[in-house]
Amino acid sequence: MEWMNCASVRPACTRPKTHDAIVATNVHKSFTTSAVRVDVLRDISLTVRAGEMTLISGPSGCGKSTLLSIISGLQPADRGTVQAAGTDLAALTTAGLYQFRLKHTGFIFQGFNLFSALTAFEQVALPLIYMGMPRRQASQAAMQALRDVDMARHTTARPFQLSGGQKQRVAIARALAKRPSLMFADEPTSALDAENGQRVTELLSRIARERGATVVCVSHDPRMMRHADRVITMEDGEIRNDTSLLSRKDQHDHAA
Amino acid sequence: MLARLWLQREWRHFLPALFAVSFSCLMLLVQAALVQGIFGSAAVYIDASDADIWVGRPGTQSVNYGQPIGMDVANILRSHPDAETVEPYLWVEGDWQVRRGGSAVSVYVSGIVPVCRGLMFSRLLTTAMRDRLREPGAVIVDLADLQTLDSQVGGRAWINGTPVHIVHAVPGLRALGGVNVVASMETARALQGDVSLGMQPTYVVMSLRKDADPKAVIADLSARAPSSNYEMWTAEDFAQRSQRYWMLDTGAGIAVTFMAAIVLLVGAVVTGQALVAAVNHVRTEFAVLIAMGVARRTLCRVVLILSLLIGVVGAIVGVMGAAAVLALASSRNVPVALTADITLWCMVAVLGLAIVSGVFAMRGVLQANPATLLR
Repeated sequence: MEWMNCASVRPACTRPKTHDAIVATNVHKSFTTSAVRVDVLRDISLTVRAGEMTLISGPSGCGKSTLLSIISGLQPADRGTVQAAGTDLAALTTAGLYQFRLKHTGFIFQGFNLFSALTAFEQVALPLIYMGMPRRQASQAAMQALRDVDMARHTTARPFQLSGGQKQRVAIARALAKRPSLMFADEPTSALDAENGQRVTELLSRIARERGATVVCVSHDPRMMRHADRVITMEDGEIRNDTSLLSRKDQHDHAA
Repeated sequence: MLARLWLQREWRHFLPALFAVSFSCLMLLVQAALVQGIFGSAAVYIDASDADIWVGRPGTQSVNYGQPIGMDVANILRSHPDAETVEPYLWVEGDWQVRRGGSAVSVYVSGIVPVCRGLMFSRLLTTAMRDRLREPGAVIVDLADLQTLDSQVGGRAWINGTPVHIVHAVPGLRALGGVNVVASMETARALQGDVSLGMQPTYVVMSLRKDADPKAVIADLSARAPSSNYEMWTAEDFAQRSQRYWMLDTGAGIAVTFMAAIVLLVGAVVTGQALVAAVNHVRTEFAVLIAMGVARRTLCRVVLILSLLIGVVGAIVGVMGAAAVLALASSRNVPVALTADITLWCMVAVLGLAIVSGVFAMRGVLQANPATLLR
């Protein structure tokens, strides 16, 4: 099944020119629970390129979600710097972080986190209106995003009328609608069956390749590993392995 | 928009809040109507009459606490160029007995001049009724009091040991603290018993020519004939003074205010809890929007609009419910009265309750942390 409306995007085999979208340097984060201080991230340095789907993997508690929240501007690091979309996140105030996220980021979470009172169309359009987009423009953007994830036929459906995969596609449309340059996804396939998990994985991969967006996913899902351009493996708050699969896939695409 | 859709499509979640707001509104309105109805009857002598100015003993706190004053004040009133009608009014307290030596009911006897265009109770008594009052011992009572007096129209009884008979029963005469009985001045004097009081009335009342200002007339009369033997009030002031006395000085007003505060407090707690629960239920959804860059103040506004909508819907339902209850009460002769401004104030109080609850519920938005979405 065709997932994305390719009329509005470039052919799948054409990869936009990449650049460093996120540069994290010596990022350190610790939490104190019950008077015990735990170093969750230990001086991590990382560069994430635009146009790629980067997968962060590792065992539970290794710090991958904390790293995602820091490089996306959801929480500050204790030490170190993060440059995202050309902005030094540490230098931003709370209001500045809102503006940064508003302008640059889209999020997909493990739980779909959809308002049970809203239809699929409203789930996507309302946040755009609350972000200050004119209603007409918000409606058009929402419809386009729903078409992009093949949910145009379910615009009036409410969450209880949708399957898990459909809900996640609405959540992706919500994140996509404002056309963010940075997409962050936390275990986006863990609540989905094999078929829907595969669809979401392919969709995220395409968003990176065809729109030139920076897609960073945290996941254990082997299906995502197969589609990722790069896999970063973490353990005990440190990066243990960083593998780029891009050249191999490009060769494969070329041969095909 | 989110607030409206949320309330419209998931109204079941907000039923406790809607019920609390509606019930609070209904309780406030019914209380206010009862207070106005009951305490308004403290001034029935003034409100049901056409006098513009009342003259009584200085410092009189309420109509029922009047003391005899000299009839000479009537001549001073008549001398004013704006004076139209001046007449005495006698207040007598008595005990009503259906059988001599039997149990007694406290009654307030109003002695009036039973002339065709008399001022006292002009809004309740017809000319024919006034004519009947000229019979010695003739009295008129409220319809709803007939049962209390254990009597009926045409029935005979004794007040302070003097025989009386009921010639009419009319609605609108009910009083606070006792039963109102209207009689002629002559009958009332006979019931008074105390001959030392002679011809002294309790009040002298006056109506003015059309367009005359009662306040200006009082100021004029006070300047012309200053006296420490009497005090003059406009009918409106004296009615308010009487009602205020019963409301505040008797402690009844404090009790009513306390009840209203309890109603509002309980309403606010229930509404607040329901709203907090609803907002907490979607806290993760709010956190997603915050992660995407929607400002918290925008989401706080959604919660406030939601609470305001609940307040408006609840207030409308409450007013409709109160109208039904008050119509039922009125049909059973329960003294209820509700003015538009009191209704408006009750609705404003209920909307305030809903907004305060919304402010409590905003904590859910303020506590929504997008970082917790990443597990």
